[in-house]
Amino acid sequence: MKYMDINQVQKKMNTRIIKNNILKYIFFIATTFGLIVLAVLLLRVITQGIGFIDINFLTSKLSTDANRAGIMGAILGTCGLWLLSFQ
Amino acid sequence: MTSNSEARKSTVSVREMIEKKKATKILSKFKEKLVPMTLFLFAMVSILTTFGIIYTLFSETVEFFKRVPITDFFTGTVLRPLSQNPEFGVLPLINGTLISSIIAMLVAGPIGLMAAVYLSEYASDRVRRVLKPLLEILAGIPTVVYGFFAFTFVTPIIRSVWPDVDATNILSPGIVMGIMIIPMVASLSEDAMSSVPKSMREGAFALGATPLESTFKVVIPAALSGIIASFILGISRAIGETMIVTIASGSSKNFTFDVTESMQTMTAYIVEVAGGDAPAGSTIYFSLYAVAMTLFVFTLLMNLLARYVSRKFREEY
Repeated sequence: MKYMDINQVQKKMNTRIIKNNILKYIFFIATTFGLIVLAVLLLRVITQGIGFIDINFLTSKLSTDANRAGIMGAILGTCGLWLLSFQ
Repeated sequence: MTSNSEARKSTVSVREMIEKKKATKILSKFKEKLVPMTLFLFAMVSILTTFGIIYTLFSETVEFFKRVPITDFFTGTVLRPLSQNPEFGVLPLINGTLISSIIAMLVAGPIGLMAAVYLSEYASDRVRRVLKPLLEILAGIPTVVYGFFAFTFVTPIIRSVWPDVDATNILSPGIVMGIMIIPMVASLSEDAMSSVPKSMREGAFALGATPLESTFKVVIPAALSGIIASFILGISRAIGETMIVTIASGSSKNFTFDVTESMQTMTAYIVEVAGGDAPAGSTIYFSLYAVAMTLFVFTLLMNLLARYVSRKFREEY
């Protein structure tokens, strides 16, 4: 009694291995997709934002004049909320 | 004689000790009872807060339904809270929420699952230990940042490919929301898949299966409950997501199935109304609670479903 056709199995073997290898790369690309988006996001935020961060921006208060405006109030507010929720 | 007196002395001291012990015993008994009580109270704080929120939501929702019939609310397709004769149909919001969540899951489901397969079945230990934490950074980015990323980066890209898309549309926040959910789906599914015993994979390999075949015919069926639960938790996260859709999808209350148009989700509606135009006690103010209640029911159902699935379809080894 013959349960398997050896020739048939051998014929299919190559395509099965190729399929496995191709999908392996697709799975890898899917994994890196998130990382690529992360890199783009960080790159954009950093390259577009870094020029505007200086000591004046970090320490001055809100102002209607964009050149003098800063985020001290926002930083203090965040820290306040942060301390309060940990108390 | 001396020994007698010594003995007496010692009995006296023992009695004293017993007395002392009794006095402290009451105190320590009191302490023993007090500490669990205090701990119980602390544990109750979050439960009581939940009940407080549900009570407020419920009572204000009842007030809203006294002003607007419940059937109008759930079957109305027009939402015009600020017009002269306002209409409060919640369907545009439910529609926006569902469409954005579906888009998000179309992105996060396949990509997250493929990432999970790679991490648990193909990646070497070293690669996994580098990739997984990196991927989880994605989950830690503030959603506001994702919001303006969608608005200033993803939308222009989509518009350059597909010019019909509006400046504010539901497609780009949906995609970005999906990217945000990828690490959640990937890491929960990966946990489920790597808890499948190694012997089952080895059995498949011994029968001549490739890693791919063992993944799809053995590992995924065995880990299905965890994978489905991770999908449902992802959907529930997408339904509750606020900032991305608020920034990138605008505030048109369209009832449409066209993803190129601006839509509003339930969460974005709550942000818009709570952020400005709602005088306390007005109908629009109470509509806030009715929408919040609907949203709460949605996410609660999703979380219950996730628990049910992961219990019902769990395979024990």
